Amino acid sequence: MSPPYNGKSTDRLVITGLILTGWALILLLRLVDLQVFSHDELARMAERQQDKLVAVNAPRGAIFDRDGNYLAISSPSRFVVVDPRRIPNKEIAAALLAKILALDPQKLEADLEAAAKSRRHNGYLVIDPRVTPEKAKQLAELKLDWLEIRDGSLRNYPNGQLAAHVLGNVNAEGKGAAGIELKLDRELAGTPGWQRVRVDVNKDAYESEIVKEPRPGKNIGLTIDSAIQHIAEEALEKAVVQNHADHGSVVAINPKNGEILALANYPTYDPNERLHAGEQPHGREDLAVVAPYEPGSVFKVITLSAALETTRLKPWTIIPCAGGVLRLFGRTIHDAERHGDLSMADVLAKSSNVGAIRIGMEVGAKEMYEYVRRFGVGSRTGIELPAEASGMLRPLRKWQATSLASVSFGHEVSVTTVQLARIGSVIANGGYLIYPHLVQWMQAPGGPKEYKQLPAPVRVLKPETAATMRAMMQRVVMPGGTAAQLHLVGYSLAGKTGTAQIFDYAHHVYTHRYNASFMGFAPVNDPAILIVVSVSGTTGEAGFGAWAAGPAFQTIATAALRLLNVPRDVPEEVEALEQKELAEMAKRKGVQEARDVDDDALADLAPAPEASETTADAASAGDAGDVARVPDFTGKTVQDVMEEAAQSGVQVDLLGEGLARAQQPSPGSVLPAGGHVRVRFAR
Amino acid sequence: MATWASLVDRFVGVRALELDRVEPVAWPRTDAPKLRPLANEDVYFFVKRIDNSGVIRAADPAARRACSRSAVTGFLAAMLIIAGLLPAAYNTMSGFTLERLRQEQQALKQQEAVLNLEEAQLLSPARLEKLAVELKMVDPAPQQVQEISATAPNSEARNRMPEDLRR
Repeated sequence: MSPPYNGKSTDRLVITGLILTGWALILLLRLVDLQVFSHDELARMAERQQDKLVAVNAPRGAIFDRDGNYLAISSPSRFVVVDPRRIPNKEIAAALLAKILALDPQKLEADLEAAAKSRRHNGYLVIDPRVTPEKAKQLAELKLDWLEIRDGSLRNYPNGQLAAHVLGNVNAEGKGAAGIELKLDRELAGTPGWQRVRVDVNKDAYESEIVKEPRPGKNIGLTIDSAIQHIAEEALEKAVVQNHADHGSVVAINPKNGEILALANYPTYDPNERLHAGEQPHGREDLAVVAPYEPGSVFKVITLSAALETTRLKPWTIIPCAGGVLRLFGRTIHDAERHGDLSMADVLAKSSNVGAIRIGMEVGAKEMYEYVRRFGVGSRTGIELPAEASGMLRPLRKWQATSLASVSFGHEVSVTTVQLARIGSVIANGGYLIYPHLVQWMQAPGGPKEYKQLPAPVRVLKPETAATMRAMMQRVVMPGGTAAQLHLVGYSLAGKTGTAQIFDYAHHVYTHRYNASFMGFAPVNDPAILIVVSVSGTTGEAGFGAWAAGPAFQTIATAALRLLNVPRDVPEEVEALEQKELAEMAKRKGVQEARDVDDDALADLAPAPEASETTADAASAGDAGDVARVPDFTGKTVQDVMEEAAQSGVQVDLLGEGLARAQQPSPGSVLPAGGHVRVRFAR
Repeated sequence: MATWASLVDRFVGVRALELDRVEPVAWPRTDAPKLRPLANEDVYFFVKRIDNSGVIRAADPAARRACSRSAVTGFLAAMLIIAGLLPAAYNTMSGFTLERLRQEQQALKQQEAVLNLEEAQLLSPARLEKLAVELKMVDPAPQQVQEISATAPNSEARNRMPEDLRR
């Protein structure tokens, strides 16, 4: 009987098995060789081929206003970047690029020349930070070896010029160059990270690992109110242009906590536009912070505050003003208007320099210096803007014989507009020196808001002194005061005018050009806002503080009080206006009782029978149906103003000579019966 | 052993020429020289038909068991290897998906920034004022701004106008 299986097939199986085993062994040996002996070298090769080290951008933090609206935001963009040192002919290159990118060829050529010579650019100059895909394609087709299109992040200021000096701008490398962008650059910028990415043969990533964690920039919330800021900028521009002044600044602040609601300068600039080579940075200086000036009569609030606290002077104490002329140590000091004896309150209301000097002398140099220091003059406010000036206050030991007199009415000292706002805040908030600030909170992405912690305010004046000063400042805007034409309907108002002659350092003389300012707050007993308007380079009587800076203050304050929903403290004024308007509407439509006016009756064009009795009255009142509105006299001669006033039936009071520079009430407003329009002229 | 000669001989040899029916001639003994026959000259190919239909494989349970064990072992080994490699494969595939989602997230963040910028530009105060001027809107006069006091007497909160006041 044959065996169960053939010995030969077993042999074949064994042979096959040996062959397979040998093959497997060879494979195993190869694997060992690859994964053990050649591991390091192959791993290095794989790493070179597959591993990419990629930078992880840390987006720059955004800047918000107090209502959460964006003031500055970074967004992705494509940049046109050139290496200026490799450009063979910059004139041709500039012409070519300018044509495609719609740029100014001369400015571009100047930029290329400057960058080629500068070490700072190091072969990298951004020509256009916002190139469109179509233009990028056109440039790519040129195949220029010194030109590159890169993806990056661009800083945008969506509101254009709004709060330009507060925000500042960034340079071509994306670093802060001015304003908040510079002062808080470290917080805003963040730190980029690194990521190791493994890619396949198609360059698709399949694994990534953070090597260095990126730290995104913090978002920052400012105290700025965009609406108030916009109104302040418009009003300031109008004041500077109409008065043919050099420049101006406005600071609007909450006097209780130091939050700055608006900070504006004119001239201004658009932070989205970068400075080209050779261009002067005109309009880019933050004058409200970096440019101190002699404040003039506004400073008298410190003199009188010191007098109330250190002397026995009271608001009703009579101060001899020597007819408005005072000779002191060889100097002759004049008042704008000649006054006899004035009460201390009237010294402030009528802004008598002689009276202020008398009061200052009662205080004495030591106490005066002490109070001026207490009000923060000569020290920085700590506002979050770069290059803040501390102003100028000479040490007491360097005061000369006339220094006390000069300081008493606001000369021989210099302050910035922000410092002036802080000075006014002391009186407005009941005697505390607050810290003006712009930053409300900072927030790391994904983290909580960190609200700014400020030092506790320091008491500078007694509460009763501050209250007395507020009452005296209220008289400035009342009949007889230097700013009697200023008025906020529905609100009480207090303030102080300032008209300081500008000193010519080249010739060491005071010129006839002024720093005109007005510092005011409303409502008087619980101020919600304090505004300082300063216009530099005004001339003539129309260039005085109340006329040059006052109208801008009135415009800003009226709008700001409405926007901040501040309750009216003089509601009867508004009620009176409302009743007057209803009565005029009733007369116009021939309805006798404004209270019983029905909407349907108002819409009915045919007059009611009882209304016919009133038509005679309406006719005798003038043009039936027309309300007396104040014409615009600005820029007209005296004769033209008189003719127009006669035609429109408006009574005018004319002050000064030349062309009409300012008027009160403002053009277009309703003129109550028997009301007069005051028009001030100047050459 | 098959040779060329034997192959040729197949066609022209004794059988081909039917010379095999010829009685082999006894070669007369001569003294003439003659060649030695070549090796395997007399080998012929032929087909031997073997009928193995009756042959059946002998049952070998031991071999079958060995074979089955080999197959199962091989299968299990393959499964183990696949099971070991599968997580890595899924890991890689998930990695692709994850990286693609990260890139999408980055693109969406950039898109969000662009939209935020656009929204901020549309809401800028200067633009709104320009639109207001075009629409002939004016700032309200003080008497046109009514303050609504929250503490006014005889006041109550409502969601709808009462029937008697509705027109």
